[in-house]
Amino acid sequence: MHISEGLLPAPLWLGGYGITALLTGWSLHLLQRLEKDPRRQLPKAALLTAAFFVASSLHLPFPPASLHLLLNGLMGVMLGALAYPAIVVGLFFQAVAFGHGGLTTLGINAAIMGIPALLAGGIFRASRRWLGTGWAAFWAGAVGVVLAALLFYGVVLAALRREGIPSTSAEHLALTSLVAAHLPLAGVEGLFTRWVVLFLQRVQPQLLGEDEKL
Amino acid sequence: MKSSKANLPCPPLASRSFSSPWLHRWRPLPKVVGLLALMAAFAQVQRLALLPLVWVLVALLWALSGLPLRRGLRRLAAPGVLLIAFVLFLPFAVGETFLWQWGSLALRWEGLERALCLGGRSLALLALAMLLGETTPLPALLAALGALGIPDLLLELAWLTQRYLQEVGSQWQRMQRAARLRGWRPRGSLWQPGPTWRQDLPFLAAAVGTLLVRSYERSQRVYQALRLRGYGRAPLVPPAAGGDPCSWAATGLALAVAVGLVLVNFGGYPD
Repeated sequence: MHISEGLLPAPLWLGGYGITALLTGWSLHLLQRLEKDPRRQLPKAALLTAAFFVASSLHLPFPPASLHLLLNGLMGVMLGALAYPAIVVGLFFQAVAFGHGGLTTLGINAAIMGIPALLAGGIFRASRRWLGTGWAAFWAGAVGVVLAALLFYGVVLAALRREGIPSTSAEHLALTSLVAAHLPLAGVEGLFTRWVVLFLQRVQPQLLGEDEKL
Repeated sequence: MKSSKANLPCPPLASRSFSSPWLHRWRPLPKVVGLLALMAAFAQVQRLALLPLVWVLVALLWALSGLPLRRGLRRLAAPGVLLIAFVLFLPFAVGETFLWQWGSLALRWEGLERALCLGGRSLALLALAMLLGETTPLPALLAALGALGIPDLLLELAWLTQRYLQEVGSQWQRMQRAARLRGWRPRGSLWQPGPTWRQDLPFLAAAVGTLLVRSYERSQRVYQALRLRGYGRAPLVPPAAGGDPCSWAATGLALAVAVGLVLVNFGGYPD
């Protein structure tokens, strides 16, 4: 779910950088405010970012193609506010080392993946007590995908409108069908997140932020 | 931390095996400023007439980098599904000047022009990003970004992530190999989920969970080892070195070209 270089008009990609600067700044400020030594969290965030980067290459067969998991909801669950800078870093490496996404679209791509990650983390923490850990994780994973898909297609439609394709009914149809097409993926990602989180709760509950402030 | 690898310098993103007469010698800070300015200018280009100039600049920089052309073409051959969809869709959806028509399907000049502009611009930007990554070692790139105002914590996160990316990747491959040796074969699909596939997804979730747990445990040891070596008292990413006059002159030229491109693009210069 990457937007390639050169597809977006300047106001969109500059706006993406603005949003990413604000959210990254907020996240790092929160880290500095809540942690006596903010650097203590960095190795954990870095290694988990690397692990997410690797695990997101996992392809599941979905005929006639295959799909890969976004795992942004799981990042939000595990890293809290640090999920946003972690996503920025992951996308930066993908852009520079592999040519996925791009440097001009880094800000907007980070917003597409990162805002749902932050919301997913919030949903998990807010609903964990009354839904239980497993179902809270399911909704965090599913919401992460659906929101990312909505943001992605919203940005794409804005770019298409800029290119002179203003048909409102066609936009609505495209948006509805594309989000509907992502519902199975949201279900799979929700289930996957639920299983990973239940596994972590049994094996290493600290990873679910039980002793963290962020 | 037991591993002696932790004391090795960060492996550069850029491959240093290519002999490059000039682009490698362009100092990182001025190079980042110059290439980012060019990228910002290229991203503004909306006139088809400006694309040849953009591609001449890309070709010139590529020649100065000494990178093999095949390497670039291989990367540019996979620009992404979305870009391909845009380039294929626009000529049939935008414009009034029909070039060819078959039933309700019509190829239109305005859409074709936009598709060419968008595709050419996108590939040029990808090429510039690749040049930056391939000719600048990561610590130098991060130091240059630090000099441009990116926060230290974000740079350190990037440095540490890159440091352990390859190691985590190898661990993931080892885990998959071990699972296969124990008889696990991914089967079924989301389309036709057989009993094996329904077992596969929880198994994969447990594998990802194990990878996360191992990474977390390792991160605790990494932090303690880093603290013992003075982490927090000195910056992990060293400050960027300035540049020589030649590098800054090249950056000045790149900035002038970038400003010129933007002015011509928006300034009513005839196509």
